Amino acid sequence: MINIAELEQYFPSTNKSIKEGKYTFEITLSQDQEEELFTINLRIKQEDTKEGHLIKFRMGISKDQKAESKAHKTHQPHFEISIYKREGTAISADIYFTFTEIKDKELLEYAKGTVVIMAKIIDSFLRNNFINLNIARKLIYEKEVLEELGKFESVLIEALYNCYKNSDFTVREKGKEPLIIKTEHNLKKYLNQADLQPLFLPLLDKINEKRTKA
Amino acid sequence: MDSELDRIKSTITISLGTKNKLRKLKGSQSYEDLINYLIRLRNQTIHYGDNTIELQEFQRVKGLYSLEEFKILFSYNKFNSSQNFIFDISIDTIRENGEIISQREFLRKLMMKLNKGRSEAYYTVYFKLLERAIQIEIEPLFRHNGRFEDYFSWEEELKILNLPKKSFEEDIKEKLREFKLGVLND
Repeated sequence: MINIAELEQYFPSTNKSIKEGKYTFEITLSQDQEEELFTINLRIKQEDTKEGHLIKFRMGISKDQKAESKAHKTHQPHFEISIYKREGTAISADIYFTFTEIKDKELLEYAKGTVVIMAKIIDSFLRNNFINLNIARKLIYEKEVLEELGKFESVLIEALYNCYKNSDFTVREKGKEPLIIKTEHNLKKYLNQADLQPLFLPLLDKINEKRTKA
Repeated sequence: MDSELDRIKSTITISLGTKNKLRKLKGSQSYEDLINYLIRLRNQTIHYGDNTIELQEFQRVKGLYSLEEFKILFSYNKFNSSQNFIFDISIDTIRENGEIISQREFLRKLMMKLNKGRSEAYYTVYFKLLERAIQIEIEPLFRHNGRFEDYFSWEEELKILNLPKKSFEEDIKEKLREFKLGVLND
């Protein structure tokens, strides 16, 4: 059981959509009364302009009710990224890192690390898509997040690294054999995307750092 | 034994500690049988892994919906049995008596015809397109029971059609949420 209420102070408003040009941003912070289930989520959605491709991007950390219909273990705390793009064909990619046997203190630290990654992803997304950077302040207090929670980013990255290193990180693609990612090449192939840079680069640094030490 | 390679003997270097653990585990089995068993076990577990990337490609196909003098050409994802399947309806062109008109113009005319607000008119059409896509792809006789806002009817209907939860979340729940917020993609 963790209490995510303390994280609300880093967001001007949560659970509300903010529209900027053709993009809609939404940050969700929610928790049940028993403090058992929670969600911390960033969603970015591009308006369907016909000319451009549609983007839906969602990332966050959560622990949900058990759902048999899902491929991942929704009732275990997990870090999740979901991307949907439409360019002629439509492509969806859902990335899950599941934290098993985790203590509440660690989970709260991962949640704080997620808020830091969230701030960085928003900043990077605004820059990549030439969107007014001032919109960031309407979504998240980035400066304060980096100053006060910055140290938890490396805690989260370490946890994600351990998921990659110690468990099977599997790519499942319909019609193909599941592929276990054990090489940097495959990790780059699947995670090295513009929208994921703030997550991918520190994870790659961590892998390189561990390899150098080994 | 499946191939020529399976008949050629080779060696792998492992620590003495690991080798001793394997020897205890194998019992009367050969090392090769034990390792093949472990490979099978691992292949089974990766289907239910904790850390995964689910990739899915959907083919976009076109459908047509006729509403009196209007013809709406729309695109959606061709159905496949993936857990990540969503229809993701998008409007391509709208014609009025054969002539292409803008979505804005179409909505203006539809609002007058249906005597509804802009958002209500837009989402009435959206859910008609979704119903049409379901008819083409899954069940030709499908009709949504009730008004388009009837969340629980949709939930029940999609369950009966065996459509994944993700489709309900993205194609219906999300759209109803946008309807409440007055979001229009025009």
